[in-house]
Amino acid sequence: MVLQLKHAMRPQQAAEDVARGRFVSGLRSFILNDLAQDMRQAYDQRVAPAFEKAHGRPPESSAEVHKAMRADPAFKVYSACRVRAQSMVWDAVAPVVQRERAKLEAAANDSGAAAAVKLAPDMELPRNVTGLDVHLMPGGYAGDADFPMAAGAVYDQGLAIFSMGLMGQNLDDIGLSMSTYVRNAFPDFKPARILDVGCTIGHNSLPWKQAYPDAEVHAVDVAAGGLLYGATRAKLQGLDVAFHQMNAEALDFPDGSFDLVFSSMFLHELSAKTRRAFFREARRLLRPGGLLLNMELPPNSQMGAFEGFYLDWDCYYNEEPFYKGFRDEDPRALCRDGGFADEDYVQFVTPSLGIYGAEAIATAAASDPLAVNSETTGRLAEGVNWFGFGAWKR
Amino acid sequence: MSDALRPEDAPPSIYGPDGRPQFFADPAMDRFVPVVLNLASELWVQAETIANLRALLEEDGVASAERLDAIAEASASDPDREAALRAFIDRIFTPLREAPGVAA
Repeated sequence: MVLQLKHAMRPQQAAEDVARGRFVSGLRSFILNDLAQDMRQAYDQRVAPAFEKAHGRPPESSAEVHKAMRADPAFKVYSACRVRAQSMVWDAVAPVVQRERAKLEAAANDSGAAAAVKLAPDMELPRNVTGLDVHLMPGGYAGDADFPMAAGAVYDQGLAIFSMGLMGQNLDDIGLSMSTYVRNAFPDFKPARILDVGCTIGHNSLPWKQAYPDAEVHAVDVAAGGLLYGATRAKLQGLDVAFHQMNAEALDFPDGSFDLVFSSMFLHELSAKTRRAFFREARRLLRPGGLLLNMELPPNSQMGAFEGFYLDWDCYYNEEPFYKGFRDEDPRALCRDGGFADEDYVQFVTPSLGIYGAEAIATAAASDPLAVNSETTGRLAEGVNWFGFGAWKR
Repeated sequence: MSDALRPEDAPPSIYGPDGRPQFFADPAMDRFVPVVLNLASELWVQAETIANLRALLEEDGVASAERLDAIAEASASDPDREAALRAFIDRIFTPLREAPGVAA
């Protein structure tokens, strides 16, 4: 299914836009289900046996599976179709955003968002933003200097198609699910100041304001276009969140100024060096008793070789060059390198709020944290569950 | 994709000279797959448009095959229709084009 956004910044779609979006969403579903199943079958029946015959053992890593799969027709068909379908996501929404330029810019000005968002026009943008058409999105997060909001609007509308309805009515299911889990698992934890780092358009920042209405919520990103769009989107949803343009390596807030530092689908877009700097920054910004929480892709060490390969595909073919490097890392070691103690490490898998409801999350939060593996999370897992990890600061 | 921002362990052979992923032994195949998907998309858009129109015409009681045929005949020399066709062809077949700056 294709998701129709529910917030006030949703586009006015013409009939052709609806049809095009529906097609791409349906095509992606076919690729990620049917063609992916063919690829798994090809692996089990052709690729893995041939590898085992040649090497005397099955493939042991994501990289070995990738190399072996490259020659198989099921991989070629899946991959070629998936690359094109990804571009078709953006192709479907870019004309709509251009058509609505005046409306978007007026909303930013009239809502007060344009004046409120704290931009840093002299800040040098990192190469992972300027040098990539991330997710094959033309211009990536940096977007078009002449129409900065376009990058945010294209991302929002594109994600609505991309998500096939699995990421919430306003693409906020990750934030809603994670915040619901935290409230249930840690009922005494009452964050007064919350920071979302790498927020893009703030779609997963807003749920924290909904979960903790008395909290002061800040959202930061390096890309101005997403922030301006996100600040407008938040204003029009009546949610008071402060948006700032900052680099995660050097966040311009005082030491000990937050109770919760959050990120979602952010770490895999950073180089290893930037990732480490962010963990140190997160620890610096937390007050004693504060929590660093990252929603992310599950690590390769906790998945089978094929499942790892399947997720790592995006690294090579979806302009996400740091994706596999992140998934090869140990989440606990990342926290440790950031200065957090091993005994303060937390990880869990939470069911999606939108799909399973609050009761399922309350049950999960009351149980021992689920094992993080290909059965519980990741693209091949049954259902939709989100992986979170981080650490408390003593 | 910029060379410098490719994954560190990416074999160069997985990308073509234009920097795009290359999956098939014959690079022409990598161009044809998008064309097939584009065609399917255009076909669906038309199918949905016709379904919407048919619903509207039936709802208003004005559906008429003869009238539709007459409109088609009148469009034979319509420059707007020609321009729309050109845009349609570009939308589907652009993947067949050489990337700018890449020698044939």
